[in-house]
Amino acid sequence: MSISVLVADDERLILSMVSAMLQRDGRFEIATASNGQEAIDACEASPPELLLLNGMMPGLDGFAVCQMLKSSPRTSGITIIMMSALTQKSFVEKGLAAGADHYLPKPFTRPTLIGAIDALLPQLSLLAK
Amino acid sequence: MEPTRQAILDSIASNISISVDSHLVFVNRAFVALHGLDAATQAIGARSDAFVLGSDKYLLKVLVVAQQQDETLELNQEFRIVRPDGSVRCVESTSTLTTYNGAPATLTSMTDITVRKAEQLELAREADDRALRVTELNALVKIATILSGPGSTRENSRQVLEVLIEFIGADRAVLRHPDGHGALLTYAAAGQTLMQAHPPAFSTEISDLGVSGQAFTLGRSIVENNHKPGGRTHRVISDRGMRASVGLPIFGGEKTIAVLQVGSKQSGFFTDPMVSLLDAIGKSLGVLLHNAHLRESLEHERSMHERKDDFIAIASHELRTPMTMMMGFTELLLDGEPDAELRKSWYEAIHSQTKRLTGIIDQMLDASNIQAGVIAVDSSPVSLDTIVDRIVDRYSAESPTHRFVIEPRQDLPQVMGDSDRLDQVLVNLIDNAVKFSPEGGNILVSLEHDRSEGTVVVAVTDEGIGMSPADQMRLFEPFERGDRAETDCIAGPGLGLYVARSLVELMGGYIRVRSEDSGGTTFSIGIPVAKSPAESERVYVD
Repeated sequence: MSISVLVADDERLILSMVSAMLQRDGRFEIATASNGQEAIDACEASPPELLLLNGMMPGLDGFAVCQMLKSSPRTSGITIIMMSALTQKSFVEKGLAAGADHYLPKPFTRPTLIGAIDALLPQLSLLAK
Repeated sequence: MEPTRQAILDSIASNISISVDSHLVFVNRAFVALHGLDAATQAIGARSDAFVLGSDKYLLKVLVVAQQQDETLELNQEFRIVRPDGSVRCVESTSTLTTYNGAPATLTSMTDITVRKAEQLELAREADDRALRVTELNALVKIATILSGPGSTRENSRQVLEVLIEFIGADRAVLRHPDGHGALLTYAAAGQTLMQAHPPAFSTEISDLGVSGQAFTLGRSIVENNHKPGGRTHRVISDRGMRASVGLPIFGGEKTIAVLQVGSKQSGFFTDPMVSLLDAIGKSLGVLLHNAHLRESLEHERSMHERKDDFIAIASHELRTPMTMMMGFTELLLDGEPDAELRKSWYEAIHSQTKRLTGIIDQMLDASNIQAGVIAVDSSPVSLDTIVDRIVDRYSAESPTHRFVIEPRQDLPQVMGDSDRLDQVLVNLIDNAVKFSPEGGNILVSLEHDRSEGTVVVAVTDEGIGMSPADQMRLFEPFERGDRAETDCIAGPGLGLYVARSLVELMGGYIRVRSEDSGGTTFSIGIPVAKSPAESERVYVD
């Protein structure tokens, strides 16, 4: 059983990097979005089980996207990991307050990313059922 | 007079004199002593008021007239007498009518009350002093109320000056502070001043300010109680009409931070007690100004701290983003065995992010140098079109995903600037355009000569999502968070545009941004045209 994941980041290279990390794990079905609005559109069209969401993006930023998805019944079940280079405590708190299930500071290694996802697996499989 | 009577009168301590027809006919020994005479003969025959102080003679006249009307009247009077050596004594006299050798005469007995009078005067002066001290206290209490009031420092200072003028009865008061370049600026003024005719920051050289300048330079109070018309101080327009002035240094901490000048139209106006009252008021003003200064530097420091926090947040973000990719791709290369094509693209990614990181570090150094005011730009004739073409060629090769559209242009004059720095600014603009345009988007680059401004303008337009006016406003600020109402998040222009703006402004140019909500943003820079010799000549001939 594969887990559907959407990766949203305005940096093209981050999208390929995170995708490559997930692909190597083999459990994921990966889609990408290159800005906040694209992420919202993709989630509304077909909610993934997991969203890896960048914090700072031009236009609609990750914090706003997170809040919007968590407050809409159709998308509130998506597990969201925010990954951001904004690492100050205030931003971590802001991400969690926006409804993120985990806040992953950049830079991160593949084991850290996969570990964070594994920690959220019970929640993910619950949704899958 | 019979000898026995004479002996009796001489033996008593009171001063006794008898006058007939307003002339002394008898004085006793005590009278001679009181009046500082050698012998009674010096007094006999003289007018009865001969020894009375000139300005007190009328007192005796009043007495005589009164007694002529009522012969039983016994009148007491105090007046002053002058001795031959010029010393003055106060006396109290009692006069009664009598006869002398059958003629109507006046018998006057006098007591020396000089010591008593001096004591009374001393008491009166002490009472005056007490009254002045009460006045002083009132003034100081009123000033303390103003100082603890809510007004601005400048307004509070002005009110203090008004109280001061009112309490001592002076005509004007001016508080000046140094501008740090050898002049004193008017900070606040009250009374008859020329403040309305002059802007509030009316500045005068320290050396031209008379008592103010001296007080400021010497650090002590200067009193000039008698300005001569046409004298030094009268050269200063603001002192016109003042005949007496005091200049007092105002200390804040250990330093002279201001100077207070008080003027009066009355010569000799300023007494010592008044100067000490002014001194006390000056100290209060010093506290007020010093506190205001401390408060300002504290606020400045706090805002610098906030800016520094913002800077660290942005700097950290800027550095972590390329590092994320450098770390991530290195790890992917080390851990697995990707195919050749993938491996190549990952190496390229690491390489590009390393370059990006280097660029960010350079930008931070530039921004830091700009903040410290130690960045220098060259100023020589530069062809902007050559620089633009070179950058566009490079980007066309590096970013085949975007299409560069170069607008046709006429012959352009050279600009005056720093070729390397202009390259840096334009790379920044084109880099942003590439970053914010969707793949396959057009990036429009135009160059034109704006004759009215005397600049060459380069405009770079992308097909990105556009920017809100609020975002546009804070784009060029170094560490500002700006308006966070919408997303409550740092927008990420980084330092590039701040550095770009600073550099073009150092070259006498400008940078502007125009963005449509519907999408598309245009950044343009205008750099002043270099005057060619031919052009200068043509302007001259015209």
